Amino acid sequence: MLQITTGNPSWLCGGSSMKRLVVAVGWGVTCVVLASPLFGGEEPLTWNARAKKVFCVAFSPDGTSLASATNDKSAKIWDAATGQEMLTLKGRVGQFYSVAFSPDGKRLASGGGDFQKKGGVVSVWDVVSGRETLTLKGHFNSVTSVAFSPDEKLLASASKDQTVKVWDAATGLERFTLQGHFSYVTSVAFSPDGKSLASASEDRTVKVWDVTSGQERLTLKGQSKFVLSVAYRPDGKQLASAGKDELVRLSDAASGQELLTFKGHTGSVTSVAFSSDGTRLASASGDKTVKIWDATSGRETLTLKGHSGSVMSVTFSPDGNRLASAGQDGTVKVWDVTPRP
Amino acid sequence: MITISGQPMRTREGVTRREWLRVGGLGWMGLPGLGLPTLWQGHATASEHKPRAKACIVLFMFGAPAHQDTWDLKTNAPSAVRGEFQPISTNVPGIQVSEHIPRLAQLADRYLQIRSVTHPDNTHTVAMHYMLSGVRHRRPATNPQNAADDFPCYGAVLNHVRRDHESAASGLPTSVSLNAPANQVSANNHIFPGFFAGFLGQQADPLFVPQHANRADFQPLPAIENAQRLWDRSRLLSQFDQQSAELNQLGAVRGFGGYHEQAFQLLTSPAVRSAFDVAQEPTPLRERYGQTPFGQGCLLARRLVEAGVSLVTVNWERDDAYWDTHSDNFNLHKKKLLPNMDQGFSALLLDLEERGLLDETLIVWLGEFGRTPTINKNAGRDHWAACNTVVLAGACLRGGMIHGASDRQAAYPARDPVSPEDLAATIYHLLGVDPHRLLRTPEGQPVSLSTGEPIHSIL
Repeated sequence: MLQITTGNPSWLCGGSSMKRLVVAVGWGVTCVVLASPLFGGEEPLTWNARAKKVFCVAFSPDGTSLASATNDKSAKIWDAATGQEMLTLKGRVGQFYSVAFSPDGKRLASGGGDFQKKGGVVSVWDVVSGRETLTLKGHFNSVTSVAFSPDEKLLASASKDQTVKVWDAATGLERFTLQGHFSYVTSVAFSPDGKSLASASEDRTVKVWDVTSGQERLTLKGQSKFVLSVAYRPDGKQLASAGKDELVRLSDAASGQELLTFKGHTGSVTSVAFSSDGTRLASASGDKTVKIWDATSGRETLTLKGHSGSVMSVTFSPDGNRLASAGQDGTVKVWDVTPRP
Repeated sequence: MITISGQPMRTREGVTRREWLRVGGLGWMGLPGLGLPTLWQGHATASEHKPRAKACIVLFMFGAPAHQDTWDLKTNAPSAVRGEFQPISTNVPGIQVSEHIPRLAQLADRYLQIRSVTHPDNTHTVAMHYMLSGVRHRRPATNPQNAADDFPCYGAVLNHVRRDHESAASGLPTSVSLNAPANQVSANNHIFPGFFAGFLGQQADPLFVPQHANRADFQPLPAIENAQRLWDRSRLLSQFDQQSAELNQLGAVRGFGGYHEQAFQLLTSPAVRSAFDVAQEPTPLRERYGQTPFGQGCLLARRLVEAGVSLVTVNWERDDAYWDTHSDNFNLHKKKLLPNMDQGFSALLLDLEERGLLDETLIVWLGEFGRTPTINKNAGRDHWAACNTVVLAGACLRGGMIHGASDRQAAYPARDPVSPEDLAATIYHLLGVDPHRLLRTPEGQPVSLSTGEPIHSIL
């Protein structure tokens, strides 16, 4: 692949005033790229993920890499600054629907699989060597979402088999199977203190589980359609959830009481993510946009347009200055979302 | 869609002028359905492989029975879960079923239970679409009416692939849906998906027979006193269509005349008339099936299959009492639902066997989902798609068998989960239809008949 880079790549780590141009041309697959002040717009760094659909993107904890889960039965790790492919993780498990870095950034968990034949599979990969170090089997249907606990000791997986499993992330032994949802479980997230786990489901609920006992603590009801994504606010006090009803809801994580509703999308909301300081919330939607909201007031602060298909996943960089999105147009986009006074 | 006799069904499309003319031509015969001749439209295709079963009877328990109170009893579950019924032994050692299906208990060697059927849709409408077509509805988060982009139901697919089936020559339809319209209309006048041809077009819809076969005046076919006059009228209509250049440019009416002739055959064929004449059956046999819409529907299904119809769906008639037991689950199952079902299903198995038809007929007993493990405050059970039991019989399948298992509360599959896709692939395989055969949507998009795999261990 020929790659021409001008300007200082450090802009990608936050600066917004520098000259930006990255152009990459390759055979067969194109990475067309970006850049902003040169062209007078806030264009994101964009690359083709070499698959028709991207289901999930995740930043590495140091913000330098991005992992993607795609419908070509692979997970890939990309240089978040250039979009260059660094590693392809090819499993034997069918589709990959979800990826998550361990908090130390050394491991990547992927979730995928299919119904019955191979079942849902969670894999843990060494990010440096690309070796699969653990294969966790037990779900009989695809795994839709994976998450590491903040202390890295546990791994949670949500599945279309309508359960959530909690695994020992070092040994791969199953700790709990959390039963209670009665439709596909679509998303799973650990609370920042690692004591709770939230799961979202097509049964129109979000459930909060006690990670120590495996008991259900709370069920958040009231959504009229499928819930597709759930995320904890970094202070652990609130939960954001979103789904087919096109709304983002902010709820009290202890009581389940709904605090705010964010209205604005005109399609299913597929993914929600908080910035690390908890002030902003990003949402990806089937309306092909990503929106950024003030997480306290619920005010919409930015709409990012550019995807040509449903956006399936959104995540902030650890420093909160960039936002990665990906979706059914097969691209990954990295947007500069540096807060401006 | 074609409906004969009884309440006319609303169609998903509006009535066009052309259709109005067609109705005008046929309406005097008491045919409220639109476009009778279009039943036979479709694309002729060669059968993919030798079928294990020539015919199929789908017993559809509209409303969703409580699997744990019928087949898969959990006596060791907590009291909030296990319910009021006791299991009884069957004629197969080690297999037990509910005490309220004693007849079926004595026939357990004739059927196999799949106790691990699972899907995610807990709304009747989309669940019916899923279980009766093997394909998840395109808008599963909604509570949709039937629509033109629905996936075709089993009967519609057979209409499509067996268009040139030998039964057509005698005027017999390939696929019939009994007790249909009353069951497809919910309290809010909602026509459910899952019973229709969807993107294959109305011409592939099953023939709907809404009138209940247990009625003394059951006569789904209108009396034809003057066949010559009917023929003249139908020919006139054909000529009208042929002379209309505009109409002939439309794919939907090309070859209309030929199908019209077959529609005429449906109404005038002695074989068809005889197949529907359930009154020919001796009274003791009719009583063995039970004098209910379901019981006599099972008997009529046997007659139709015997005559050469490929697929008959016997829909549970909600007038019998309804399987959707959100309240009073146990009384309803015990007093009305299970005895009626037990009688009709067991009589069908024995009758087919006595006539030597069981090995060549596949019977599929299913609901759209199971019911909640937990009993609610109204002594009811709510919707639960995560686990359910489906029963298969005939088609030389091994009876006295249980495939898969549910967990201790019959809440989730514990072993060998089966998806609606796999169930569909199994059904199509047994009927000699390649489960991965491609269909084309009206937009020309190829779609696989099923993305599942036949359950090889039961075949």
